[in-house]
Amino acid sequence: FGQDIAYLYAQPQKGKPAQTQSLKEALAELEPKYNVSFIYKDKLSKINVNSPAEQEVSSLEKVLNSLLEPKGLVFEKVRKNFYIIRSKSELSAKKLKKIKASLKEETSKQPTENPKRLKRLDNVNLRIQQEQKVITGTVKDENGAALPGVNIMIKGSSQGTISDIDGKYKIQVGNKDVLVFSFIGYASQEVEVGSQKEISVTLLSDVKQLSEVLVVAYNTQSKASFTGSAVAIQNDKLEKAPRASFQESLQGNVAGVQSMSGSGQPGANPNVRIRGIGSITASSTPLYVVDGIPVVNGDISRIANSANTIAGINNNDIESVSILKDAAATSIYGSRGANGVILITTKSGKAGKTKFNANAQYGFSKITMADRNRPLNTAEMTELLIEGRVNAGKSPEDARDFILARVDTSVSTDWFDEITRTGKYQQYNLSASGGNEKTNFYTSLGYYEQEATIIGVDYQKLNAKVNLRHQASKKLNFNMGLAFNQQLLHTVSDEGSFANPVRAMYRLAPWNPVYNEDGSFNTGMNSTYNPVGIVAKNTKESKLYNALGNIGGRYEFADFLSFESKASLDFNFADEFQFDNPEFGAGRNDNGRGYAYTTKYVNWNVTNLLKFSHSIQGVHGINVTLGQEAQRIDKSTSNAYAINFIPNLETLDNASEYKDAASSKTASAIASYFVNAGYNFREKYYINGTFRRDGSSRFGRDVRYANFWSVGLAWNLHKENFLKPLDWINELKLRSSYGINGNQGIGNFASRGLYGTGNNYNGQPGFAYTQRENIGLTWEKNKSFNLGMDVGLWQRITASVEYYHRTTSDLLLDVPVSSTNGVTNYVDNVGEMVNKGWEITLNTENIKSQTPGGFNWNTSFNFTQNKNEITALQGDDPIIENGFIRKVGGDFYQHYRVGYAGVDPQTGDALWYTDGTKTETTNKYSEAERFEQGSALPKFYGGMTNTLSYKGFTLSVQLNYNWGNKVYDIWGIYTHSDGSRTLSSTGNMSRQIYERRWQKPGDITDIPKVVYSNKQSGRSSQSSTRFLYDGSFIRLRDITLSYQIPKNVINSLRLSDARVYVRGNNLFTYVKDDKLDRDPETTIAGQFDQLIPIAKQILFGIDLSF
Amino acid sequence: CGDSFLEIEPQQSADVNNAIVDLPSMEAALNGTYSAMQSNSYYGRSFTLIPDLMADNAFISSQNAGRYLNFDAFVVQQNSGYVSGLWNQIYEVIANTNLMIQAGEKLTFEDEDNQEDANQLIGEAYTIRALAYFDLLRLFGQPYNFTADAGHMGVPVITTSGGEIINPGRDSVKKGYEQVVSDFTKALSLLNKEKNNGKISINAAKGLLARVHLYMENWQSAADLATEVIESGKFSLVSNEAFVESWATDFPAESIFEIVNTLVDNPSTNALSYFYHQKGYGDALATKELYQLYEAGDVRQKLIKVGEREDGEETAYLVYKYPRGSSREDNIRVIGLPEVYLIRAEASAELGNEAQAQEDVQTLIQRALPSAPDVTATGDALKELIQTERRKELAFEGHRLFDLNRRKMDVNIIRTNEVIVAKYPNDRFILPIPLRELDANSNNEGMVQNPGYDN
Repeated sequence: FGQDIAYLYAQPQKGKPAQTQSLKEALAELEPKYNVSFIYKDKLSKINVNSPAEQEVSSLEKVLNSLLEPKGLVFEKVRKNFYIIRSKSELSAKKLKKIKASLKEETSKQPTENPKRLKRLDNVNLRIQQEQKVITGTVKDENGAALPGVNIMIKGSSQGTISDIDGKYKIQVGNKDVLVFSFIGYASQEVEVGSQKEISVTLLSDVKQLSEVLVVAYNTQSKASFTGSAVAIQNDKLEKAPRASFQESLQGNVAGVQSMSGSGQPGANPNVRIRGIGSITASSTPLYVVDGIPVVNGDISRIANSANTIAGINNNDIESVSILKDAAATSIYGSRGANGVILITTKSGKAGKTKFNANAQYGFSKITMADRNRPLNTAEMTELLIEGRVNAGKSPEDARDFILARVDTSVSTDWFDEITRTGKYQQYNLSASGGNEKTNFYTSLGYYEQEATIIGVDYQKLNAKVNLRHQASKKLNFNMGLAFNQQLLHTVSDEGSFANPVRAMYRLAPWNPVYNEDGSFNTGMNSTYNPVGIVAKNTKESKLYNALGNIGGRYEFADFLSFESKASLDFNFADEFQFDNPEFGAGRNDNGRGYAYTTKYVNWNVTNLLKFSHSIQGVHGINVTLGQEAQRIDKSTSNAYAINFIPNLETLDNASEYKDAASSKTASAIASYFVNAGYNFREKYYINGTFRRDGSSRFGRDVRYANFWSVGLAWNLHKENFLKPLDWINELKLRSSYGINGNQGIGNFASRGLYGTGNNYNGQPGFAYTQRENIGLTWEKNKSFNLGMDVGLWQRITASVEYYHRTTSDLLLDVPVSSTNGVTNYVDNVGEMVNKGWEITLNTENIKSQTPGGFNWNTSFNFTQNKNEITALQGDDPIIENGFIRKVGGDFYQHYRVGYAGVDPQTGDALWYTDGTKTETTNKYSEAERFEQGSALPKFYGGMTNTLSYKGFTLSVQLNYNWGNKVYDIWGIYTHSDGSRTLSSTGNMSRQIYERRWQKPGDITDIPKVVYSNKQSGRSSQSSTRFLYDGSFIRLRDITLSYQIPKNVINSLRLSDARVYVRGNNLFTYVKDDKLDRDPETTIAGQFDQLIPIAKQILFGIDLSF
Repeated sequence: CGDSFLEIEPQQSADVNNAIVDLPSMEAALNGTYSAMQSNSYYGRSFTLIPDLMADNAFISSQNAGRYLNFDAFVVQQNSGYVSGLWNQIYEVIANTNLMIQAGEKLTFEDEDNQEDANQLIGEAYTIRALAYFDLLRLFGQPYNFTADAGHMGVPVITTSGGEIINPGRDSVKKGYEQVVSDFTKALSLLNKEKNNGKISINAAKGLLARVHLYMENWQSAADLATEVIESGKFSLVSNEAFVESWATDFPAESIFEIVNTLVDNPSTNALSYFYHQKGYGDALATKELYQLYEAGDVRQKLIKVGEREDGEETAYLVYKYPRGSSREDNIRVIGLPEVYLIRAEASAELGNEAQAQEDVQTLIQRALPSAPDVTATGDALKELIQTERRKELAFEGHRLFDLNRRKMDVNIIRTNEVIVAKYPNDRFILPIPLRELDANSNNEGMVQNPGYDN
């Protein structure tokens, strides 16, 4: 349609007709007279015809015949009031049929406008008689591209036109008329005609309107009809972010979602939690579904500190992300829905001219808040050690001589400088989309590269993607997608490992040189692990490959009934290699060690859906989806290990001694059936129900199947008559849901009593008791209640407030048991936990310009308050593990440690509280009892984004905040050693000690005196709240200033759009606790574990469309 | 999708209910048990290291990586990972022997040879269980002779595993020793191999039971069993010339039972040998006192080399009893013929048979230093000499603290720059019950902490 046919609506014309006129003019005169529209090819418009003179009223058919016949043209009525004009020879019957079909479609697309227009045609002649003139103009979108098909109506009338393929239109109006420009997906615009002769408008895309459609489980549906809790994030929040995974962009952007990795390692796997911690032992990770395919998520690497399969998705390929939060939204995912579901929809092609997008970014990163803990230099350390000897009872002279005889004061290595760097970052993407009505495509290529701020750590990613859609017939369409990505990670050992450079940075004494005098690496420290040398000479490389292929089809039996089928294969492969050099570190005694690992996940999934959707006279709406799904995930691994290498060659073929080879296989499967049914009355009242039956291979045979369900209700109050008069209320909706879903996130064979193999002895195979049997082990159940209200006011404010209460019962718990059982833990369904809280999302258009390019200011704000509470445990005994106490009435991450009480001002001794009453202190650590010390979970968190735009400039500022949590520095017991580590090469003390230690009686401080070979404090067993900090912070997470290059420049470059910008991440952070000596961002568990530090970043980018 | 779609069997493990069904699976289960003993939490390092470290034979170098420092400094705490490692690992060994005995005793074999093989395997399991309890009692309970009736706190005695979760309280040391002796006795009725490299034989069980009787001061039983082992003829002392080299070889003639480490199967960098060897961590050094205790020319002194600890002590006494430490291949000797001679010597001296005692201790002294004069000491001097010889002969084999404690002697904990003199009796000669066990075990009345470790 469209290409070679222009079609016109009524264009009333006054004045004297000429003797002859063009066909176009002639028809234009007829249209108002007979309340009809004509469709004809452009080339016909200029044919001269005899004017239909001042005739008596005659039938339209007669008039047309007299006009057309002499020119060899015919007309045909395609439907009421619509006529096609064509030459006799042209237009086959087939084509005509098609045009009719198109017209029908066009009409049905605007169900509210067309009947109205047709109905009001009677009134046309009653319009106020006024001076008429022809207005022309062009309609464009924000990017300056022509918008064809825009409805241009005269306000209060039924008259109007539609813009042509070039966005051009022409309409006859009077000066007092107002033109209304409207187009689906764009905000309508009204323009008073006045004295203008040309009215060109730019329509702004209406994100609000787009978000009216939600991608939900196995479907899309209008937001108005949704009874559950879900948030859709459009790609503008995700694409072009310098972050490896979209998950990192969720932080601070979505109420109810926490996404934290605590690591600055690019490509690390963040902990994503939706509405709190759902489980104790089982997974608390949401289900990830990409284009309808539940994918393998998480870390499949075996040697990288952290890797993330989801980071393989190119953020720029994502169209939208839906986060499903409550039971109404997720229980259809049954046993995998308990922790929420994240639906990722990738971009698809759009019919029309092929459109190319290219973007490039380049930037740099540095460690945040590095100044809070610069390692001590040799002079500072020597000062502390001499003071420590004196405090240990030596004379100042002795102390000085002793230390100076043992410390080479001519060396002062700044290990921070040696180990950190400015990380380079770059990203390039190219995509194309296009096609026609039958077949369309989207395809892209991406490259991403980021260096960490720690030497030896970097990340690269390559992406390629194709999405194709083909309409085979009116009833049958196919879609297929293929995405491939490769992630390459170079990592270093982390946490307490000798090879961890982050550990070395704060632990290595400054008098250790990096190099020996001959230029070789100094290995006389840190058990030979020279951190700079390890990075230079070792290899730790992980290559992760993912291919995600899917093919689906949809057959429409009738308007109301369709069948969809989808099959997919999600293939994940990790190919990893580690080489420990023969000179120092782990490989030094073996003349080099090499390890090769492969890990493979094959995840296939089949889904069949039968969908019914029908509306009875627009009053009763019913839709039903019946579904079946089966999924199987196979995992296999292999690894080999060899030693004794030929110099400078690293693959295992270069080794002479075989050490180890192993392989393993495991699998899990789920088989499911489900139904979702909804009913609505006049789109005011909605009820929706879901039921799913799931079977999982992970559970005991007798308890393998389980049922899950939910019920949701919604009430669109704004559609009630009593609210209709209040036209400032655009939306007022109440919704509530309740339901049950499950969690099966445990080991594949957790219910079995097992003898584990590989416990070999003296070259003979052996197995040993590794897991206690629990045949009754079954699903963890998540019962979720949600109450929400959505409000839209003055077309400017939208807000959602939600309260939720989720109870997890039959918790899959790794219960610690007395070791006399032969195992230290076993998995059981024990206990109950509640997460409840409030979520508030507020979007406001504070300043809204009436003209394009004017000043605009939008704010979006979100707030989440979640309270986690354990409500039952086995025998109600607390579980004390890893510095946390889990007990009834407490929360999941309640720190449980000895309470540090500061320093005795007289003696400089460290003091601890004897117990939780904090009434007595002791200077003997062994006399102090552990007690509860606050939670690692924030009291509230969220974010705020302000976007300001004027002319071509846009400034976007995102803040995020996290408040009221306690964070613990696991390694503080080593870095705050108060002299107990004496002259050890890894005994560097923290800057806090240097700056705040007790020195003389009367000193009021929180850092005890330094004592050489200290036995009173600073020992590695003295875990206490001395290393527990307030983790509250507010962070300038993201700031972007962009400039839209003016149209005239763009056009001269043959581009359709161009934008340049500068963007910064984490540039500023307010940290509540002055004593916290590092970036406050950490893992969900609130523990600093010597991971790669968080970075701040600045980057420059350019986007081009053509 | 039928039910078969959801039937997926594990590939790397066997179902506990039908894991042990025949001879090969009995043997596999036993190998798994030996493998658990090989762990660095047990014989593989902690158990063998700590008795020398927490006394006067070994100490942690000033240049160290932080391991076992609290043992070296005699400030062990209940949250120590090494302490919970020992406790968990030894109970894991016990559970595996329980399961093996439970399943194995249900099996009968028509073929006599097969039944004999099965008996040997079950006998090994009984021996290992007895040894494991004996080791637990030595670590976590005061010696048998600490109270008159040995009624002081020992460890829970568990002889069946795999059923309901248990939360046992502590049994008395007496009950523990009763179980140990009963298990050894049962084992001796089943075992039929006289020598079994890397595994338990009749003689290994006898030698270990002799040691148990020594701890219980059943002198006659100790002496009798030692005599049986010595007279079995299956073992002989290594010659003076071959002595040093014998510590670099597997199964020398005087070794009765040793835990095997191979190039591909060892506790890796967590191995005991790696902790002593200077090409490994080398954090543990011999004390100067021990080195100087050997007469000049004593071949045993050659297992300690005088050298330098890189970046640490300028003169360091480096332990080479585990000379293959860089490849972690050194086996861990659990019992050898020299100890059996020393058991008989000590028991004989206590029984008043001083001639036997002198002869046995002289056999070892003159093996080490052929020019040494004959032993003529008597009475307390003889008893003291025997203990000194135990120290010299069994250094770094994990005996010293246990010997001093059962002999009711003070312990000099020698460190890098100090000596801590710990008087007998001493709460801290034994380890605390791990905090993890106290936390996980709901029997708060029964599972109590050792005195001196309250909190």
